[in-house]
Amino acid sequence: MSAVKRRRPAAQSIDMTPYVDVIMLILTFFILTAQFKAELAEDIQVKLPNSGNDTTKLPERNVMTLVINKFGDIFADVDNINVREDVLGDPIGLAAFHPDSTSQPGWTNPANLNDKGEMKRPIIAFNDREKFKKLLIDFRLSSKSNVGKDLRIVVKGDKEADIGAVQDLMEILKETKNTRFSFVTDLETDEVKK
Amino acid sequence: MASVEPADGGEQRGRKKNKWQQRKRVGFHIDMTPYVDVIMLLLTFFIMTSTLNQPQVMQINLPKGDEKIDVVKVDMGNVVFVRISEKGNIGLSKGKSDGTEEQPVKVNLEQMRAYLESWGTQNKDMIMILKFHRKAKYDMMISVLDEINRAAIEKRYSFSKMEEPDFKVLEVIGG
Repeated sequence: MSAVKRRRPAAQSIDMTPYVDVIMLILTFFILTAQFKAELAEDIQVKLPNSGNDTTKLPERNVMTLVINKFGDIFADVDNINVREDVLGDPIGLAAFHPDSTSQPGWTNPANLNDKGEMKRPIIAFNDREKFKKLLIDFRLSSKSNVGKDLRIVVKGDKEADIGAVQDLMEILKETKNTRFSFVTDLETDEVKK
Repeated sequence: MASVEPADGGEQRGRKKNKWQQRKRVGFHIDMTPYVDVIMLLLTFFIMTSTLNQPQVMQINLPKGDEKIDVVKVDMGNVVFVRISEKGNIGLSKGKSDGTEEQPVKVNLEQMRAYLESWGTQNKDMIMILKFHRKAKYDMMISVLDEINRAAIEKRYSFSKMEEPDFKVLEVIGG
């Protein structure tokens, strides 16, 4: 009996340890190389418009995101935590600006921002257009980053946003010499297309 | 970690049974638990980090905000006005060389592309001037830009403010 028992493992056992080791290595590799999407202004929900022609993907790093929600509020954010701390004084702060003086900013009511009605990030409101312009320049020129002119600007607008807010933002971008930027869109699917 | 166990408790069986098992060597059982654990980890990881549809970006280049350069004389005959009303109606009109413009036509997005393509192939110097009503929806703006980008023409367009005369033009096509 004992002789049989000793022989059997040699003949039958498939040692899974190296296999699992390799899998773990691969897993570690992916975990380490994964570029976590800087959860840019994820607190603010926007429904992206669709387009069928854009093949350029959203850049992953060195991005300044300008979110326009359906109330016409503009939220400015950069993906560099040091720059945020330097410019906004808060590493997780989110700058907000409402360009249209005739309507109320939507962020005053947290329920407008997302479904849960809670903001993880403190909103730093800018009421003055000039200060907001300065902020956009500071984001680019902050001494805490050496990105400088490689900072990409993406505009994430809600489908329902008024074009007026987008036009105001484009004016601001133009005045701050940010004449190259991109609109973030979703790929248009056939059933979406009218 | 992964132990291999006899399939049906071979130790309890007699010697005869074990011999039979050794001959066939099919009845053993691999403990799949750690394997499944790892696969689940990987699966979870990819599910959490993947985005179902990666957003794309539409590149926009504005002219440099220098007022002196901004004033460029263009022949009105090359200009096509694209006006978007508050309701989301699109009015297309061609400029004439004498500075006036033709009656606007009300089009949908598909028709707009067809018009622009036919005009754009006739006149290689066509310039589109986009005028959006402030209260129109951003979705509309992206759709219009998308159609222009898709059209097989030179992509020369500029954004312009919508003013009083433009509202009158839009009234013709029902605002």
